[in-house]
Amino acid sequence: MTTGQTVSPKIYVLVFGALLGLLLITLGVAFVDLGLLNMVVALAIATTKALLIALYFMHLRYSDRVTWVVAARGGRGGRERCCLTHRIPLYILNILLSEFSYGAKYFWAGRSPRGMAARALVECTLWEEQAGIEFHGSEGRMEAFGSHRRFSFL
Amino acid sequence: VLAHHFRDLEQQRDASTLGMWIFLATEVMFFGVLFMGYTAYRAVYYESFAAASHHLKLLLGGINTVVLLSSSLSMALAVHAAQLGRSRALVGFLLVTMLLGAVFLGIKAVEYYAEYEKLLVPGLNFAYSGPNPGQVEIFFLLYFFMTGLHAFHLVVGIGLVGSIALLAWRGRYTPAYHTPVELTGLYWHFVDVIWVFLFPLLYLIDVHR
Repeated sequence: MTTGQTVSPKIYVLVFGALLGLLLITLGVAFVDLGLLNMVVALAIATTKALLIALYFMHLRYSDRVTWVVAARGGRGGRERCCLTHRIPLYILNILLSEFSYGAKYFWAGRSPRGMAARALVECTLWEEQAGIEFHGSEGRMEAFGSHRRFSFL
Repeated sequence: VLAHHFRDLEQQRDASTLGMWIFLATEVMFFGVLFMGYTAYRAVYYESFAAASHHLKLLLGGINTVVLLSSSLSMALAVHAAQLGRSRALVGFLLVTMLLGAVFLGIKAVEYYAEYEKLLVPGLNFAYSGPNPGQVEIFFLLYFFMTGLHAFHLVVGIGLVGSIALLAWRGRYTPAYHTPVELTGLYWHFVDVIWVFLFPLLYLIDVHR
């Protein structure tokens, strides 16, 4: 969001209304037995609420400079410019997918706790590696925070 | 207001905003491991987690969700007031935000006390008579850790909003410079987002039973 640009309070109130509506839907759906889908719906609604908050309350939607948070890869430059923030959407996605996949596997695996526990350990390790942060060497970072125009490096 | 190593206010603000988002990104990872641990244990001990979850006060949790969402609205309106230079409205909305945050903590304290009375606090006061007490204990351990960490973030948030309100009262912020208000807002909304996930995960396991 650039200086002088504002969002109408009407939009904030609308988003707030939507958040309350989604909360009611979550509560309503929770009282209906949908099996595995209960969790899927609850998490889908929670994600929608989080997105609404991020896009409108946190101004992500209006933000030029920080759209990199939601972009899979950022920057106008051709080079791969990896930084920790690029991994965040992946990381969140991973948590959500884990929720779904654990539920599903547990559901289909005939509910075998021991197998699940072993599996969980392996997956945690893999998942941390996937979500791992890659840091540039000091040179790369110096360049990134140095002479480049604004934050176009992202 | 402009630090010497920035070219102009906008660049300074962009840098601060980026820094805040990076901080929030690390916060996501901070909470992420807890969510991951929760997920793994919930998958393995599903029945016990559902039974344990039924001991939480759904109504209070729901009310708290509304309270926190309202505080986010108030915070967004505070930032809006700052952008327009309406300092009275700014201070007012910041105070409302703080108040709602305090209400959330108060309700949370009532819940914690009820759980203490029901002997559901691991390590302090835990005696569960139902099946698989150990598994139920894991649920409550995660519950107290996650909601406790969230509550701690809220306490910090209330302190931040309080200091911002004080500075705003002294006329520190203008439409040209109000970055601290915006960044505090980002933090506040982030804490709200965490709760948005905590509520269904902790309170809404198999409630239809």
